[in-house]
Amino acid sequence: MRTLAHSLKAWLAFTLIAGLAFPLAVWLFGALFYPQKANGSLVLRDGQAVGSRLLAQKTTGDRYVHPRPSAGDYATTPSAASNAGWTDKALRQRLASLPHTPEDASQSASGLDPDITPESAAWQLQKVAKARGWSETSRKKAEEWIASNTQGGIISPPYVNVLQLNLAIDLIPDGK
Amino acid sequence: MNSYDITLLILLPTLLIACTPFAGSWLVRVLEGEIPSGLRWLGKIERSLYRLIGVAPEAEMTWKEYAVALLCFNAVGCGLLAVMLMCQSVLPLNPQGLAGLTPALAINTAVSFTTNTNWQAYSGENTLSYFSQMLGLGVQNFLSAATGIAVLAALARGLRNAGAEALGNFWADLTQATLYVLIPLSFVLALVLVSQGVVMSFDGYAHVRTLEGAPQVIPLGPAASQVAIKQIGTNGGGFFGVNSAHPFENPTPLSHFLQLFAILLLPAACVDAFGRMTKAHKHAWALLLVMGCLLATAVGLSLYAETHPPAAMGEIARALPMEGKETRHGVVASVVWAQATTAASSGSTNAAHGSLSPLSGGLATLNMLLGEIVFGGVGSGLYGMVMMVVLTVFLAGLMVGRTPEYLGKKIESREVCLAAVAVLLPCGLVLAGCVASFCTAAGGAAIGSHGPHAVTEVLYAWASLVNNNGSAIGSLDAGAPFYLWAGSFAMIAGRFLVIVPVLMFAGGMAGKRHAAASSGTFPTDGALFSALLAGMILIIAALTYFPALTIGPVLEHLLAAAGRTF
Repeated sequence: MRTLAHSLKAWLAFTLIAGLAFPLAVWLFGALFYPQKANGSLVLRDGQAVGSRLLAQKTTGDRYVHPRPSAGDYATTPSAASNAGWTDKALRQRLASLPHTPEDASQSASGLDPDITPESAAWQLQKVAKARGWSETSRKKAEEWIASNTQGGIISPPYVNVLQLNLAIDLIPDGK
Repeated sequence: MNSYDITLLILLPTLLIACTPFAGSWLVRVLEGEIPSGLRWLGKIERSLYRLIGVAPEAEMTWKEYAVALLCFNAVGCGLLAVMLMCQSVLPLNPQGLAGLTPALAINTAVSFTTNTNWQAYSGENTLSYFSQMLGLGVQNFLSAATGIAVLAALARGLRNAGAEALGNFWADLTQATLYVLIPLSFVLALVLVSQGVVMSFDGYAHVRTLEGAPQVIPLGPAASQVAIKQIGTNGGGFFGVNSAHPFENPTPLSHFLQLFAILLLPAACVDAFGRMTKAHKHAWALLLVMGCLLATAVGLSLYAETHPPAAMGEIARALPMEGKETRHGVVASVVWAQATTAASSGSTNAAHGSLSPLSGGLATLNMLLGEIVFGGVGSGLYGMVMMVVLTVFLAGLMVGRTPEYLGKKIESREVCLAAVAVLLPCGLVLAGCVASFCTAAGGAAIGSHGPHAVTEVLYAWASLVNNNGSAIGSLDAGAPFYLWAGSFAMIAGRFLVIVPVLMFAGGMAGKRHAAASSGTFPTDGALFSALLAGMILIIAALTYFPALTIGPVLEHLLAAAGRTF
């Protein structure tokens, strides 16, 4: 019985320390120094949130660069992966029917991969340029944006953020 | 292999080897009751904690007292967590208005987090309130890791002390490990994670309109604090369903690298600490060498398998390795993580393990089947490994016909029996779980893939549950009642039916006197010992699991090479 009382009191004490004080201290740090990141890295345009920099969003038309395919169709609560193994018939058919770069055909682990490779971005730009009636100069401008905004490459593969790329694309006028 | 892949492959082990002695000596000083400089102010909290709990930290416990306190404390934590999860709808910090969990899911989750397994039959973002995550699961993340460290400390004292059957004080070990090791490390990691974009918010989910005007829900929550301890404490339970693949848990290459490092840091430090506490530092580094070699082999083979798909696959072989992986992590870092997380009993995943190549998935399964002793969980990896060492010195003793000794104490039949139980019981449980899964309708209904991949899926699940890893091949229906109940049993048995024999062993060893080493003593720090130990580990796993691995991952690899699909 004494051990039971010790256990109950210890559980309560550790719940307050590790379950309340510790997260609150981390939260306070985030709220003070990284409020935007701590709250989901929301991206604003004209004062309106158009998504999170870190979460892929479903994209249908040719006017935007698409994120990687999502097993959960870009659902966020929850998101999903295909979990298909290498001998899975459906997976093999899906990959065979999409002759893009490897990242364009395969579904990501999170179902919300916010990034694509620079190769995929450049490849997709052709279709975007056509849909928007861009001149060669405008397409070059978008390509330059990709080149100067590619992240990673030191301990990870290089990657480009899709939402930021699409916002940059929107800044280039149609038909020019 | 690209330059960034090579950088990662060199940087990770280098940093780990460099930091292990520091973390190890930190751990030892804490467990010997010293407060590290810089954390002296926490000493007041420590003393008031003992007063509040009502225990004397210097009161030595026998193995029985130690085991009773440990089991009682874990049972209380588990029970209260289950109740909390069932009642979350009436508790605060639930902005999404999520309902309470069903008893089966609540008990499974409570057991899972108490046993340091963190098997998840749910996705946090549509199931758990912030209160449940933070004051429920987050707390058990700390306490289960601290429990592992406590057992390690008791075992080390049992081997070091002579004549007195004292193993230290459970409450003191638990408190010191939490206050001076787990919380400070997690705090530092959590701050870096926040700076990288891991969410830490108490707001309700955000609703936005995408560039194309469609509605999108942005899930939030106090994730950074929990992600930090889930890696530091080798817990592995994700705040979000897809775990460390989720961009909100692991947004950048830096967050990825630090989490990967954190998975291996304390398990490696525990080995070093054990060596320091028992004054057998060379022996501890021989153990680390064996662990390092086994993990490096698994990583090497797995990288080859993942980047060399069978030629029969043709064009799609280019796309296949990226299925179930994230662009910002890439193939190599994901494979390294998959091997590290299964070796170190973390179970946090940054890729979909079901989509790993058959042999990579098989190696990940094998890591767990070895008994989670190749680094293993915080504390638990080392004490599991010591049981294997006992069997090894016993074997060596048989060969030369002498009573075996370990760290200067005689190993007799009681010790060998306890080690055999701790090593073989999990093996039996894994196989029994697989049989039950295939032979019952309830077990079969939960299987989500076809062909030999289904065997891998089930073998992976039981390897993970029994050895307290917690990761899974996601096609399995972990929420099926069969897995909820049988899984809970397997997690408890796999955890505490190893801890109790280890404490019994420690208690028995504490009562023995040190014997002077003689010419017949088998040295436990040389190349011969390391090779024998590695052989012992592999032979036990091979004898137990060779048939299962053959009809699972190996067969799947051969059929994939032959172009078969299911």
